[in-house]
Amino acid sequence: MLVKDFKKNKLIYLMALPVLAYYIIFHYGPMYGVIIAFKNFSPGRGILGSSWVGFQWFKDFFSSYYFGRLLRNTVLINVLNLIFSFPAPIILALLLNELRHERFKKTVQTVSYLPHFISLVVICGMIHDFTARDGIINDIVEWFGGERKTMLLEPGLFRPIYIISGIWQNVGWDSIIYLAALSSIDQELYEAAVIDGANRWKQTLHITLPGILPTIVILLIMRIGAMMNVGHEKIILLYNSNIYETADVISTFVYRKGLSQANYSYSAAVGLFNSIVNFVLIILANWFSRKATEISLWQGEREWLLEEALERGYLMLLT
Amino acid sequence: MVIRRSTGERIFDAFNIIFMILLMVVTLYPLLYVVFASVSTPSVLVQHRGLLLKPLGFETGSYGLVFKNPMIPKGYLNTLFIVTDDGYWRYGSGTGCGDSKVCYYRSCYPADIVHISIPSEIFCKRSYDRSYKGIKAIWKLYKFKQINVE
Repeated sequence: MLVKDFKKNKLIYLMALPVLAYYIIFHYGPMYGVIIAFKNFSPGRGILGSSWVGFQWFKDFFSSYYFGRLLRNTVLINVLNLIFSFPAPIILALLLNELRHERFKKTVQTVSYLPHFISLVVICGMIHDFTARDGIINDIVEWFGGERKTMLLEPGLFRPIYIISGIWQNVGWDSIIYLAALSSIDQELYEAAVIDGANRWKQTLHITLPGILPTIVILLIMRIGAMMNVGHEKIILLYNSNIYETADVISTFVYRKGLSQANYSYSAAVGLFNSIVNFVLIILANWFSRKATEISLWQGEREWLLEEALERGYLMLLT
Repeated sequence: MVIRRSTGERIFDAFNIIFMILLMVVTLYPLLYVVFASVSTPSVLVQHRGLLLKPLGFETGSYGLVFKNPMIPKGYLNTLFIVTDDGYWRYGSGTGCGDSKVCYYRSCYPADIVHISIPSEIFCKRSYDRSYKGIKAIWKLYKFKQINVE
């Protein structure tokens, strides 16, 4: 079967070869490096020359005083992201879709993309400035009768700052994929609905939402597959030792422990643990989605999404 | 298709437009604020409280400081030099493309260690250091208020 197919589509297979080579050389090849999670890696002795230590690093991590806090923070930030940041672009896309005035719609879209193109470092600089004691957000808080404080020193405020600034930066950009999905909905469906007496809310509910459901589900599956990852760059730029209680996540801990203190094996072990959890989660989410909605990764027409899923999700570790 | 709108739809449309305008304001204002602050006279700006609707005075000295800093052109060169990888995809839409590569080398996955510690060690490590410093310098631009106070 495969041989027959190969003979028939020789050239297409040939075209796929560079891609295959790319993945083998740059993604699957370096995977062997993961064995340092089970070794006492020292750069001088190299990956293969270092001595084996078994599961020592994993034990160290799980029995670490901070393990509970790190796991809680990581999962909480991701759950909050899922609740607030994930639906935001969907809602924005639906609202944009209801705008009648084309030019106004385009203007809103363009404006909402802007923050995405600003470097994260700059965004974090702005967040520092705005949440400072004499910053603009405190001016607003005071105007409403609140009390001024340096917000990034308050453990309770870190998560809202992180989530809201994340939405602010990415809501426009992330809505693009939903807008693309919206544009592929058959206009005749709307005309038929109008004839059937459906108002715009009903149209949204029964045509628009089902139309973009596959996109939503696929993106949700991939989001769940990255459940143990938090963009550590942003947290490293925002946090300080006063708010480790809520801000310190697994990846930032690994960064401090692993790279700052040059404990490579330890960070590799934690990274591997993260990736395994992500891998299990994405498989479970995908399985559940296939059962519940018949939408899943690894469907022919959505193969382009597979690559992104691989990139973002469980190959995080391996690449 | 004849568009006939009910009262409810009209109200919705109005609120939708108001919401979109608010969204634009919320998106643009922080950026404008930075622009205004960057050209304001530092001594006036430091004493100012509340919203900034126009530059307070006009001074481009802070930009002069930035361009005089030798780390900035170095940082840009390094950015150009190492933007070949797919760091952008790995970190998805969460990061801008510019700094993701640097973050990639700062990140904590085993592959980085492999990258950094095998043959390309010298190349990667040095350029990483330099770009990191470059970015630090840009970072300082945004903290220039504090610097000027000092």
